Amino acid sequence: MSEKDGTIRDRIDPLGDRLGAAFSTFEGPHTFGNSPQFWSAFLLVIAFAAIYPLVTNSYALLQTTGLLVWVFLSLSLTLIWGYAGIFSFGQTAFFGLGGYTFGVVGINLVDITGATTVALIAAVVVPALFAALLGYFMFYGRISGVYVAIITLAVTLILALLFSRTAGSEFAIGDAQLGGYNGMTGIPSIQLGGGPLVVELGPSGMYYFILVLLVGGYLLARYVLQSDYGYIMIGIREAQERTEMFGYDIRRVKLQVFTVAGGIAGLSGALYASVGGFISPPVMGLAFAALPVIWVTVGGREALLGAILGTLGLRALENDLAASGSEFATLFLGGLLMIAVLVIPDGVIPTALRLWNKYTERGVGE
Amino acid sequence: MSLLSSTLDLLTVIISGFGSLVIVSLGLAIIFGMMEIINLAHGEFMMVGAYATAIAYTEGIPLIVCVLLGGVAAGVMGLVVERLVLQHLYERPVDSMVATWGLSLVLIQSVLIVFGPNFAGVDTPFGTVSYGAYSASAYQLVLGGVAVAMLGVLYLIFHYTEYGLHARATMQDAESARSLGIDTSRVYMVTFFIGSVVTGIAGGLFAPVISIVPTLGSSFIIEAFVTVIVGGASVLLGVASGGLSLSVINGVAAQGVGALAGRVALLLTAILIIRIYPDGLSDYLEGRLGW
Amino acid sequence: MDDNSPQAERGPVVNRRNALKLSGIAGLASVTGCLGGGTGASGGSSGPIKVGLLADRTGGLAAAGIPMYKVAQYWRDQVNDGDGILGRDVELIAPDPQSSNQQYQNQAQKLILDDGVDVLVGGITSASREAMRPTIDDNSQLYFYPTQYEGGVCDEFTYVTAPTATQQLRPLVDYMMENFGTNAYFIAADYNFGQISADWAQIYVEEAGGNVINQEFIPLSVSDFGSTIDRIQGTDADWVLTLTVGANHVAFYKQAESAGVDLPMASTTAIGGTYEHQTTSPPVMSNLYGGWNYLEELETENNQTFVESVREAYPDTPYVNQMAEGVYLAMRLYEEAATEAETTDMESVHQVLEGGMSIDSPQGQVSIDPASHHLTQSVTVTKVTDDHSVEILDSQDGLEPTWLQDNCNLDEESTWSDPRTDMLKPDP
Repeated sequence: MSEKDGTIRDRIDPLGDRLGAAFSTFEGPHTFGNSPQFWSAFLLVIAFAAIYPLVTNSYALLQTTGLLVWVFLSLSLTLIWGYAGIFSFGQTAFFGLGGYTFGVVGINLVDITGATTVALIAAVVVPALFAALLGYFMFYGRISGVYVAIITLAVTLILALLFSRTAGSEFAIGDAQLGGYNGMTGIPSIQLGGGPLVVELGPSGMYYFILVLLVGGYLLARYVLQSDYGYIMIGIREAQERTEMFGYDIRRVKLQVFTVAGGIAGLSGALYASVGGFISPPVMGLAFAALPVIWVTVGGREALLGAILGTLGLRALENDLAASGSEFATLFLGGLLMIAVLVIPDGVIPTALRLWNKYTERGVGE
Repeated sequence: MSLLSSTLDLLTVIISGFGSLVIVSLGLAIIFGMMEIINLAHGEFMMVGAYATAIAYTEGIPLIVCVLLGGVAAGVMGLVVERLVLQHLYERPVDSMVATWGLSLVLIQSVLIVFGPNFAGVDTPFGTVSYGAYSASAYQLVLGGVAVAMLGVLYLIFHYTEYGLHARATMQDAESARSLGIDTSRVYMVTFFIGSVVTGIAGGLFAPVISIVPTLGSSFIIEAFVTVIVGGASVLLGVASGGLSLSVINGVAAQGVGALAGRVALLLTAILIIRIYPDGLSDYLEGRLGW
Repeated sequence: MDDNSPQAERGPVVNRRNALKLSGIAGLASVTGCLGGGTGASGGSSGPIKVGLLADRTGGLAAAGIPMYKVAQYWRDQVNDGDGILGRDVELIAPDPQSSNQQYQNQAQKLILDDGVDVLVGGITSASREAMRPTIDDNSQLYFYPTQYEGGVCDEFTYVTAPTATQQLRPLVDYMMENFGTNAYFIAADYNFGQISADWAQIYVEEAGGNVINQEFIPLSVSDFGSTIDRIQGTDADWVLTLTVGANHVAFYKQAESAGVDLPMASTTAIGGTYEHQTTSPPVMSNLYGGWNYLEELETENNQTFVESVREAYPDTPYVNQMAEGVYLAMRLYEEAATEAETTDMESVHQVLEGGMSIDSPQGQVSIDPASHHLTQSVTVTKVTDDHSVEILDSQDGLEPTWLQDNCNLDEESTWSDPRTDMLKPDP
């Protein structure tokens, strides 16, 4: 018995009605949260997030901003993996490329244009181009499954090795020293605009900027996923050959999704580099490559919210454990991962929502 | 530098490279080939074997026994892990990656807590072997021979025992094997045990040439994965062909250019092989040579 | 929950209640964990003085970091058992960055902005220091870097209580050239520290009329040195400079030993940081020469008392390495400077330090060079013997950080309100 059909909707109160109508473009069977209750919770969280900088101190704001920059990396993985079934173990390659590109372009142009807008755009475009090349190599070569994971992992490891070798002062692009293993420093903060109209983002500004990107990106992703294109993606995830037999060029779709995801991961890297003012080769190494996989798996790979909340939760936990200085910190984290995979195989968000549905018999989504 | 010397030189590097790649990858290949589990804790299984070997060595036990004890320690640990965690994760390769990543964190940290950041090393046996102006570590060359021996022993196990028959059947088609009455769950368990023992022995064999620290596994995991992937589906042929081709490539690149080039060449080879022969060299060899 | 009533009657009221409940839970979930504590105020005049230490106790760098932590605790105990600093106790806040640059950045932010530490000490690799420096500079935090490195930091807020590559290499290269010959073979870790140290070593070798036959750079993750050893044996090198870093590179010494390489080796990295002469069996590290400002085995009276006291208080200290002594120097310098400044206001303490503060230490007399914020100190040439004990050979006193002094003039060109915060590199 569907709880979302028209007869029920007719009876809910006007606010819910308006909410339902307003958000209907973002609803559908492919994402979690498809009811007025969900959207009212969503709006409440946004409202809280909007006033957050006003009610907290600068340290907490900086920490939260530092957590948020990673979410885009996880979202890129959810899109290609959770929704299109492409398991990439190397999203950190695009993350690193985005960060370094932002640094190089930013350091060189910030005095000329007074803004880092070009750098930000470059930090999305360059990794996306690289992803397009790699995607072409892989998908038009009919590589799939675990082999995609191996190739993408090898790529990110090669990049980490190569960037570590750039220590000498001859490894500079314009004014930007790549810095080798020590990393690139002096990366400017984000200043939007250009020419006479430039807005430098302070800590609150950065926070709001990232929040806007995140909410906008989330809604955009939901929109796309409910569209025909989203259906093709899921078709590729569920039954690749069959989708192809229906006449869809799955290689092209995979390439497109992979390219976009590369750009998003690049954006993540650029934000990370500008918030910390620093980037170094280990972000493309094995330990970091595993992180988004872990966050997304624990959060729930087939849910955008899973990526977001899994990343925020686990990253915050990692920071707290390090702060404790306890020698049991990583022991605890490792144990948690094993238990999570065994007990909550679909991830926290899908399982939580399923339990919620079971106990309330209300549809907050599938 | 005469041509003969440099050739002998390159040959030494290739033989010891082959030995090391095969020994390091064999356990991973067995586990991946059978259960398609990506064991990200592979390096830590080696670490457990190396520590067990080093601990036994400080008690004055002869090296070869220590190495076997290393295998036993890793095997027992593998059995526990398989029964508690991994048996629920077969055919879920990504979940097994996350779980084994968690396992590696637990293992590294536990060893650090119990034994501290450093442990007394194991001496390298056998001394040196000289030819002309060169001398080489005899032990590294011996490892090449040990690698071949390990391949041989495993071949015997897989082709001349009942377990081996069941294992090969399960690897080929688990459904049909089950319908023929094979207890695949038990096959998986025994296979994981064997893979762990082999990996533990690998750790023990390397103990004399590396330093015994909790994070020692991290320098082997990439080579092991690359060898398994390049080698492909067939366990023994894969590891042998993967080990040989990669040791040649790494040897030539490292000798010719430098260690970084060797490393990058290894990774690039993996990428190219997957692209051209997705099922690895062993698949190509089996097809071409009709094995 | 009443499941039997028809949907229609439960309609509007329960829906709104549900919506509020769900929103409330969601809101609550985002509140917890996001509102941080602390006010980030530093330079207070009562309560304990907060000293932040960042040194890895887990991960690949644990062997180097654990002694740093022990010695910091030892210093804190000494201060608190005495009169404290300015009559106040010291509180040591020491998170574990777990050998991750990312955590160094995070925890530095926490120590500076949340805990409001009066002084920050720490960082092992240069990468970890560079990850922290933006936060340190943006927040005008007084900071000490205690680990040997390639040199080049020219930062108003940073003081370096460790030797630079030039300080360590100069006496060592001179010694090797004089005693063993002019043909040198270099192997070095393939990253900034190894590459730049090799650059400097090459300059010194050539200045002394020698010749560098070949330089090889080994990535940190490599532990197989077969080809390298073959190459070394094919040359007529008189000695080998081994700038090895990390646990994987220790394999070089074992493999060289078993391959029968008997050339003398020189290193400014082995034994002083991760005490390989205690974790490998003789004679793997024998015939290895070093250039160090500090080793646990230094025979000054100060040092022997120091090492004994640390061991007595913290018997599980594996080895008092260069970084641990660097931490001790940093904290002692802070202690003296704050006492002299009669305040914990960071800028005032800095001004005392920049005045060229000098103290007696386990390694002897050290003083801060005002122009570069590095130390003028003595460097000793050492040798590991066949049984892995350390012989003290030559010593050069009063070594100044000369290259930095030429390029970095912090006491004259930089202030806390208009600071210079650079990382300089030598031109090849």
